[in-house]
Amino acid sequence: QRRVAITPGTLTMVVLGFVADCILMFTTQVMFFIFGYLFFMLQLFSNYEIHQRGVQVLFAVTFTISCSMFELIIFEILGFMELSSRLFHWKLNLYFALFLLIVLLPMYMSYILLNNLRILRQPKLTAGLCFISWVVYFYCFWKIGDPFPIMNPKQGIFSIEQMISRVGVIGVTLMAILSGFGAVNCPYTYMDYFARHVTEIEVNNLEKRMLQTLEMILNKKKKLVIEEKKSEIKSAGNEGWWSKLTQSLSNNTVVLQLTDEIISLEELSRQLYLEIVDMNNMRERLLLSKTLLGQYFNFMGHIFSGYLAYKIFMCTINIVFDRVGKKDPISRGMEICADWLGFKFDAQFWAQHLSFIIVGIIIVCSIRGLLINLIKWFYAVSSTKSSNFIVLFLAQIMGMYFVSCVLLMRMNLPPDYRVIITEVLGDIHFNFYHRWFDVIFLVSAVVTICILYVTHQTSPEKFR
Amino acid sequence: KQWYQRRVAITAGGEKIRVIILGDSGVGKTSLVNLLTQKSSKPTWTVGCNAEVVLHDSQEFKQEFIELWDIGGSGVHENSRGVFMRSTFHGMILVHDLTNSKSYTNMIRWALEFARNGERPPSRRVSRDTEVALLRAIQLPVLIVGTKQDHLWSRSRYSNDRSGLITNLNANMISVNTLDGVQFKGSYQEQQIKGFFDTVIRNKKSASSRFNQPYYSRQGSQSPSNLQKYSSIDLGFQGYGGAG
Repeated sequence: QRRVAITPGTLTMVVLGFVADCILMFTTQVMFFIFGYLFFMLQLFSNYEIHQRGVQVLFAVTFTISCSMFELIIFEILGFMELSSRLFHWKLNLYFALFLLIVLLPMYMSYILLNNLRILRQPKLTAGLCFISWVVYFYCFWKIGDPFPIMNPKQGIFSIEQMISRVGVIGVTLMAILSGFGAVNCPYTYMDYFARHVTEIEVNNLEKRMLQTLEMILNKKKKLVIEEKKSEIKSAGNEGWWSKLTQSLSNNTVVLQLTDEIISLEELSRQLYLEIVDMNNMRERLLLSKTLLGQYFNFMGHIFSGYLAYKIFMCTINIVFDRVGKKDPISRGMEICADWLGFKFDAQFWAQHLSFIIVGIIIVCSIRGLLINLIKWFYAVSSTKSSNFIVLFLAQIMGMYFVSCVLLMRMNLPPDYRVIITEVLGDIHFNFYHRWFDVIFLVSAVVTICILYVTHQTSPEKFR
Repeated sequence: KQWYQRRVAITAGGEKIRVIILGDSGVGKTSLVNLLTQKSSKPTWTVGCNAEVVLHDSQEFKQEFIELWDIGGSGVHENSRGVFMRSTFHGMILVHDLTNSKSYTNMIRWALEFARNGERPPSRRVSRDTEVALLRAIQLPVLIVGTKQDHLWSRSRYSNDRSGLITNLNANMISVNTLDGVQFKGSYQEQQIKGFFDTVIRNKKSASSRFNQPYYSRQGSQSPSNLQKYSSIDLGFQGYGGAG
């Protein structure tokens, strides 16, 4: 250990260095915030008016925190900034992320939900109910962690490690489900082998049928109105209760029969329309596959299906033989190169650059993939009333996803760079998370394969 | 009393008056249709087209059937919606949500999609003049309805026509609360809608009577632009942010 004389000069240098690092982090965080803000405004809420700015700000803040954690990993690999300031920022980001995910977001969500229900108008009652629902949420959140072997009796009840472990469990489950689904869905949508051949004539036929069904529905509805008017006129003109009774009975049977026919015809028209939508999607896919982009997608689909097979194989091996990889792929790759192929090179230098490239690719793909999925889910589920609640829910999912991304990425880093993550996240059982990821990934992939197989088999025969 | 026999004959004969209802997903088109046909069910997302009939009764036209075609607006079905727009229509109702200003500006997209007969929009951006020409070529009576009038606390403050294109539609504007059928009966909005239906029927009848004229009188007949255009009646926008 070097002995440095602690003079006022070195002290100011240290402080200045720290301040410079803080400014650097803050600048990048502002950039992330602006990106998240604009993403919310232009992509997510492109069809809705933003009534509550707080939701937008909260979404952008969650995005910022997640991205800055990734940024810190990159800085770790590249060796930017002092170690002490990196540690400080890690801890700061992590605590703030936990505060967001466990306290702020659920509170805001329950506030919006209670406001939407419109039962209460007094703010105090709403605030009280908010707090109570948050306590309930926290209790459920705590209980989730009980069945898992992640509790370390050495730590206290409300320690940071407990929180992180629970957030990690939820996030890793999410990641595994999404990875499993994505890994199966990607080759299915990209590869031409699975595309059904649909001609324009078939689509036109279905369209004609649907329009005919609509005409029939309209005719029947007109008849229904006429029948109802008829019974009105007749019952107005009829004297005596017996003739009134017989009239109303005979008219009712006609009315009921017409109503039944109308309901079944409407259901038929809806099914036809959904089939037409499906066929139009298929036709668009066929058109795309003829272009260069489509051929590229087809090729990538083959690669991804190979990767999927490899991943399923590895997960099964891991679970069956109960092993967790101790070495990250980069170090192992370099070992293999050095031992079998006889290349001798500077391990340190290459480890740093390869880690940077690979980790960078993983981070960018994760962020991009999740944002695209967020847009898809949001458009599928949201309405004008529920848009705020859903977007906060998606922000929470995003936060948990990224936190567990950081957790799992530890395995992909060479040992030198793992240290800081281990130190910040504390003494949690990392191996458990990898095992849990493998299990859920396998389950999700197999379930997706079954579902896709069933829908693929049954869909072409519906209306031919 | 024999009018219903005449009605049945006409229904089978095919004199149809069609009005198309367009708007963003979730603005309340199906609720509006339920209000006009006096049904009281709480609707879910419309898949495809929701076809209803209204028996219109006014001083000018007695007992006319008007078909309302309520097209589902969700973006997932964008590539298949066009099939409905290829039929001939005699009137158009554009619906927007008073609590959501984006649905107001999106009405132009719906009008343009209708003007293109449901074709996909061209990949290059069209010029504003093309859009104006397309909108003016919609020779139909247009009514613009703003829904969710009862949601006063989340009312949008920005419902004004920034692009200036909506005025090209020459449309009448009303705002309703589609869930309150009791208040709607006999109200000012109901009168406006009845007036709109009158114009639709008048339009249709004058067009069909022109096509039924013998050839010699069609020589000197007017060009399509002389079709009786729906004149805009300035009612004063109720509670709109811009012009109010």
